[in-house]
Amino acid sequence: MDILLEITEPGQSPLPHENTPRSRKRVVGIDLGTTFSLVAAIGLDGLPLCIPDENGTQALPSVVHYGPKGSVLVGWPARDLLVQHPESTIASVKRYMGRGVAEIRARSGTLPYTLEAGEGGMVRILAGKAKVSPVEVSAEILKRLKARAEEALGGKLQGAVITVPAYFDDAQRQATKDAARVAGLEVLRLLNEPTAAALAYGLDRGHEGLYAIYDLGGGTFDISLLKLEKGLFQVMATGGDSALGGDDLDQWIVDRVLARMAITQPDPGLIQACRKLAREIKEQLSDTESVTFDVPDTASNSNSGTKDLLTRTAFEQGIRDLVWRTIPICRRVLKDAGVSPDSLQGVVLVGGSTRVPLVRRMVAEFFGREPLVDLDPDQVVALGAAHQAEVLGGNEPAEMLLLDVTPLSLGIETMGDLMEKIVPRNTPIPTARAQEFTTFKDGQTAMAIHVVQGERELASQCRSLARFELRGIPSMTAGAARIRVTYQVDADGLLTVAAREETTGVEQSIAVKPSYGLTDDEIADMLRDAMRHGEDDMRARLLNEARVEANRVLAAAEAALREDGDLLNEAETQRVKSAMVSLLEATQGEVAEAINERVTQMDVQTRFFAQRRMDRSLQKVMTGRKVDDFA
Amino acid sequence: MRRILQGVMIANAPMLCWSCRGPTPAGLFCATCRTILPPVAGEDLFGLFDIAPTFEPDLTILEKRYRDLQKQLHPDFFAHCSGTERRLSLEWTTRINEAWQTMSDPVTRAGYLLRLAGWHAERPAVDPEFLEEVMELREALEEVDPRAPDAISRLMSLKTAARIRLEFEITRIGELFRGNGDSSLGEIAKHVDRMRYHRRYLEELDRLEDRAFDPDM
Repeated sequence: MDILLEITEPGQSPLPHENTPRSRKRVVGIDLGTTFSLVAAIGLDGLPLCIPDENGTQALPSVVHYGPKGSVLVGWPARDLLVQHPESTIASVKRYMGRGVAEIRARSGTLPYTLEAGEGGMVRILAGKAKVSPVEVSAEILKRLKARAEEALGGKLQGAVITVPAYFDDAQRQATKDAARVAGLEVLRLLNEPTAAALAYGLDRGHEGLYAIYDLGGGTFDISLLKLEKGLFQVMATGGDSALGGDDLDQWIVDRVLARMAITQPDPGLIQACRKLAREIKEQLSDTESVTFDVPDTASNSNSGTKDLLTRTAFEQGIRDLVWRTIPICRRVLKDAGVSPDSLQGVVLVGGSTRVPLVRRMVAEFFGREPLVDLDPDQVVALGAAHQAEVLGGNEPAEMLLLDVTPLSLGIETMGDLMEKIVPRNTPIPTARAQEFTTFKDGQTAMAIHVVQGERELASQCRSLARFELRGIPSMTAGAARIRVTYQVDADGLLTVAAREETTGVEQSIAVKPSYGLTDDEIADMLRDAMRHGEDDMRARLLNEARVEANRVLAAAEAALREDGDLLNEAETQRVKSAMVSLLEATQGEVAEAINERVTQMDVQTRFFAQRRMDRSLQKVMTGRKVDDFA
Repeated sequence: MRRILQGVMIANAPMLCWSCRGPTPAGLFCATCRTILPPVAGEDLFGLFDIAPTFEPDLTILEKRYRDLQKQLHPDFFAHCSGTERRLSLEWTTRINEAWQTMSDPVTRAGYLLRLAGWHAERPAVDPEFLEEVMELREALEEVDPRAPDAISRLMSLKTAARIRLEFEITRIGELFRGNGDSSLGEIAKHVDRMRYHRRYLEELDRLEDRAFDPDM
C-alpha cells in the first residue's frame, strides 16, 4: 500500500491556488468486488456518487468473457454469456487473487475452466482459447471502470483508491496492486473495505464512537471494529473468512434446484443457469415470503415447463448454518478488542448479501441492536473509497488518519511444525517485535527461518510468506547460540524479518514478498501490452505468440535433422520436411489458430523421430559403463 | 516505590537538530526548523506519553495522548518527506504503539514498571499457597468438554470466577504500588505473576469457548 502521490498537509505550505477546481486531481474510488465492481468520485456538490455506464447502470458485474477470436467482453454482456460459455467466461475472479492452484481447487470445487500453475506458483486460467492470470482478468474489469470514469470526469485519471477485504493477506493485496498497474491505474492506496464503509458513514454523518462493520459480500466475509473520532479512525480488531459469502447462499439454492431435477453431474452451462436463477430467487425472497420459478431444462437453456416453489422459511433454514458461521468470528473480534456488544454505537451493514432478512436478524440479535442501513450496502464501499481518494489526491486536506492493525498473526515455524506467534493479530502498526531462538544441534552453523501468517497452531496450516537462512553461526553446543529474530511491520502492513546471532552479530534480513505475486518482468510485459493494445489487439498478441512458438518448433526440428538425420530413411525425412513446410506456410498467414493447429500436427507427425532420438541418446549414455553404475 | 520510579524520568536535555544543526530541546519537532526529531534513546514508555510512571494511570489521558502523538507523527504525514524523516516517523510510531500496548494493559504495565524499578528476576520463587489454587483451577478446566451441551454455560461461570480473581490481583497490586502493605519488589512480582497466570487461564478459557461455539476451528 505505497503512497504514490504526495499528500499536502494542513499547515505545510498548501498554496491557495492548489485547491482551485482547475488543479483538482481526477481521482476515483474503486470497489473491485467478487460479484460486482463500482467506481465512484466526488461530484460537484462535494458528495461521492457511483459513476454509471452509458445505460445508467452503476454496478459492473465482475465477469470477463474471452471470445474465440481474441475478443474480451467485460460486465453485463460477459455475464450474459456465463450460461452459454461457462468455459471461457470468468466470474468471481477475486477469489483466485494471490492464490495457488491447489488452494483454489480446494476452495472452489468444480470449475468450468482448467487451471494451470504458472511461474512463481501463480495461477493461469485457460478460458476458452485465452490463458490468463487472475491479475489480468481483474485488470480487464479495472480498465473498463477506468474508461467509464475518464469519460465522466473528462480526462485521464490521476489516481485511484482500490478497496480490498481487511482479511486479504499480503499475496492477495499485491495481486490487486498488480492488476491496477496492468490496467494503467496509479494506486493511491489499497483501502480496507470496512474502513471505506466507515468513511462513507463517518464523514457524511459525523458519527463518533465504536462501530462494527459487518460485510458479507459475494465471496468474502469481513468484520471490523473501528473506533471513530474526529480526524482519526482506529481499527481495534478485524476478522473474517475469505471463502464465505453470498455466492455460498446462492449455491444452496443451486444445489436444491439440481436435487429437485435429480441431476448429480450437471454440465457447466446448467450450473451457470442455476446460479443466475438462484441470485434472482435470493433477491426476491428478501421482499416476499415465497417465490415460484421455472425449473431450467437440462437439454437446452430454455425452461422445462416445470415450476417449483421456494419459501423464505425453507431458504432460511437451509442457509442458517452458513450465516451462523459469521457469528463466532464476530465474537472473536469483539473479544480481541476487549469490548462487549453493548458498548458499540452502531453496526454498519455492507455487501448485497446483508439484504437477506435472516442475515439482518442474526446480526441484530448478536449485537443487540438494529444495524444501520442508511446507505446502499452495495455502494457504501465505493463511496468511502472516493472520499479517501479525494484526500490522498490532495483535493481535500488530510483530516483523517487511519490507525490500522495486523489482520493476521505473523510467526515463525519452530521444531515440530509449530507456529510460534511473534506479532499477534490485531497489533497496531507500525510495530516491531523480537524473539530469541537457539540452535538444537551441537555445532549447528545455520538456521532456517520460515515466516508464516495465520491463526492455526501448525505452521504447515498457515500461509507461508518467506523462507531464508541465517548462516555463519559460530559452532557451539546446542542451545548456546542466541538468535534474535525481529519482525517489523510498517504502516502499510509490509513485513521485514531480520535474524541476528547476538554473540557475533551475524545478520540476515529479508523484506517479505508474497509468494504468488508476479515478477517485475511479467508486470512490465503486461503493462506494455495494456498500453499498446486496445480491445481487439488481443488477436495480434495471440498471433504473435503463435508465430514465436512455431519458429521455436521449426528451429528445433532443423537442429534435430542436422544432428540425427541419419536415423531416418529417405521417405521419413521427407515426411518431417513436409510437416515443416506446411507449418512455415501457416506462419505467413494471419490466423493464430491455424498456426497452433499446424504446430500440433507437426508434433504428431514427428513423434516417431523424437522417440528414436531419445533411444539413441539413452544408448550413448549407457555405452561403455559397467552395469553397476546403473544399479 | 514511587521514589525509585521517579529516578528514571529523563530530563529534557537540549540537543542539536540533525537537519538544521540548530539547538533544540528534545521533543517531537525541532524548535527552529520544525523537522521531526529522533526519539530520545532510553526514554521510558511513560515519558513518551508525558505521564508519570504509575500502575494506575488515567486511561482517558493515556488514550488522548496516544492519539495526539499519532496525529503528529504517523508515517502517512511523512510520505512526501525525505528518507530520514520517514524512518524517524516509523521509529516514533513503532515506539508509540509499543508504549500504548504496554501501558493500556495492567498485566504488561505491571511487568514494565517492575523492570523500570530494577526487578530482573526471571521467574519468582514458587508460591506454595498459590500452587494449590492453580491445581484446583486446572482441574476445573479439564472437566469441561467443549462439545458437551452445557460447555458454554460452564465456561462462562469459570470465566466469571477467573475475572474476579484477576480483578482482585489488579486491585492488590495497585495498593502495593501505592505503598500499602509489603511493597517490596519481590512481593509485587509475586502478585504480578499471579495476575499473569489468571490472564493465561482466561485466554485458555477463551480458546475452549471458541471451540464450543465453532467446532470447526
